[in-house]
Amino acid sequence: MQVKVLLIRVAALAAIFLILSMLVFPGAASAHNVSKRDASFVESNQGAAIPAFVYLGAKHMVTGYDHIAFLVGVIFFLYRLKDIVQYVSLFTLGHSITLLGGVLGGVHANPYLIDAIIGFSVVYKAFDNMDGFRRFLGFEPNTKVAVLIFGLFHGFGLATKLQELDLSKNGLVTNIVSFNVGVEIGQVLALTAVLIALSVWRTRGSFLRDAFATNAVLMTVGFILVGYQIAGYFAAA
Amino acid sequence: MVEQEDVLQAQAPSKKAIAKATVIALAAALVILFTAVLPAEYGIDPLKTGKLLHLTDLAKATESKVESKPGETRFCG
Repeated sequence: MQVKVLLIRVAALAAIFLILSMLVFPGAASAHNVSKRDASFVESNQGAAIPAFVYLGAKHMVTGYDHIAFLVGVIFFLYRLKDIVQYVSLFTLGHSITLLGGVLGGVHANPYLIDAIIGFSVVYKAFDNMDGFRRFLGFEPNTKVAVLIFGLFHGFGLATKLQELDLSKNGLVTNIVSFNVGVEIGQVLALTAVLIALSVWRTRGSFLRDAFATNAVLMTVGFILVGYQIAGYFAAA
Repeated sequence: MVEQEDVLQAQAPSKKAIAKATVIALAAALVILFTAVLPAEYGIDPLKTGKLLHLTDLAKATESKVESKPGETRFCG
């Protein structure tokens, strides 16, 4: 019981921090773009800057609505903490592999196409939540594998964006690991806020009644993200 | 009883309901994309709604900024 009370307090604090941070950083309104100020900091930085990169990673995740939309889809029907930890760990494993490997290995990809796939991951998960796969295919593709694979793409997206900036070789590994740690912190913060909202909603009868419609809206968001990125790909070409 | 049926329905939507919802989601996304997102983000304005709502001004503002600072990198994702 004590642990539960403590958890609730920590969660409430995290939520307050999240809301405050959104108020403090007007950049959050423009969501997924790390501000020019941050970008020029990254480019001019030499050597290890652990707190700065942890902060940038966390900010990136908290203000990244495509990552958050996917996480909402993933934990929508997860009720037990054990399951949530399992799925989120898989997602974390996936994006850590490609974030670290992508930057250190210098793997370049088109950011628009990667972001289109991230948008598609939202559509995929919403369709899954609507029971679409079981109804149309007769089976549900392994959800854990799907989360891991999409985690790989999300990390690849992060790696691609980081590489657009001219990162100094000096302290690169330390900075990338710091950024990754920050991403995980930001993910926990965002997830906490989502979980609080979902938990409150679940105590009401409207949750199951509106679950279908909510996932249809989530799917709409995913389609918009896909279209936005594909159009960007052609506009940039 | 009625509530239970509601719950069951919510848990097991029919093929038709899923297909309908998917089509509606796609259609809504396309409408939002073509009337608002594409005009505002890229100045792509096939329906002229961007001009009507002055959303294309947003795209123009971004373009002129990019022109003034060619070395700048967009960092998003």
